Amino acid sequence: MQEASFPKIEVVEGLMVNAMKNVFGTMLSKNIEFKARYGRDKAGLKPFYSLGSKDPLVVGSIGFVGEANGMVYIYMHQDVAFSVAACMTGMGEAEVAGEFEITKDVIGEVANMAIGTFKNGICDLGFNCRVTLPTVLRGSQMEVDSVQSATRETFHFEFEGKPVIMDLFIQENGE
Amino acid sequence: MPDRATIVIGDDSALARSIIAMALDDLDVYLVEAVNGNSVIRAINENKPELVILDICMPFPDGITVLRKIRSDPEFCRLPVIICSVENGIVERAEVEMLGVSGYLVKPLDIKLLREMVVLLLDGLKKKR
Repeated sequence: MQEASFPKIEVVEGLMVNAMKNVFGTMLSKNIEFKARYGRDKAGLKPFYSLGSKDPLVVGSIGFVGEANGMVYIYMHQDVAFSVAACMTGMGEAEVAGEFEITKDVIGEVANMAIGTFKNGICDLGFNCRVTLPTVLRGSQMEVDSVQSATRETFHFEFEGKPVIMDLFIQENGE
Repeated sequence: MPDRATIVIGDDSALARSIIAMALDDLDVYLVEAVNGNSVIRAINENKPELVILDICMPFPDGITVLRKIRSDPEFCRLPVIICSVENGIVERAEVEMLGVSGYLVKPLDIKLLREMVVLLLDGLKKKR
């Protein structure tokens, strides 16, 4: 029986970019621009540093488990998260900023939809997997590192000129 | 079926529930929101809805478990259910379709399609009366 070969990173990139564009286009009627992808060999790159300041971050994270396993973290500055939440809910940014529960729910659902769409693309390639429940973190100078066996790819997007970073850790089952 | 249909929306995201509620805003329906699997089951028992709109990735328990419970209950085994979820894997779709659903929409939602689906289902139920 022939083994399924894991998709090339260019295919994974295409799935990730399409997922983000789909979610931002459908839910916010706005474009999110893909700028660059960095592999794990890119010296010194961490999502926190590539965001470029010490302002508080909001990070949505969600995993997927099955024939492919992984985690995706979506990093953005708090003001970007407020802007996304305001846009999605139709509320004012000041109103959203006063009640973090709203932003938490929106960023969790954005992570759920974006990573769910990405994961469905991975499923279509023959690696069936399911998403986990999303979690949302808020804080400053946080970063996540991976175990050696996971492949790490970082995708740099811009939303209204501000960075949104997707940090993907992926492992084919049995690797 | 009463003149005003009751619809239970089961989704752990307030944003997702509000998007669905907005999609059905101009329909003369009574909406009951439920934030997890157990509250969906409670809302169905208490409100005897005409339709359930259900997410799969939910806590306590997940949507597939809720659907299984609905289908195993003689009172609700024919209750129309529309799935609205990011989950679109072959295994999950097959499981859900085997249990029986009236529709399956993948998030991000096409709210026009959801509205059309709900209208068609409710019209069908009225005609059966």
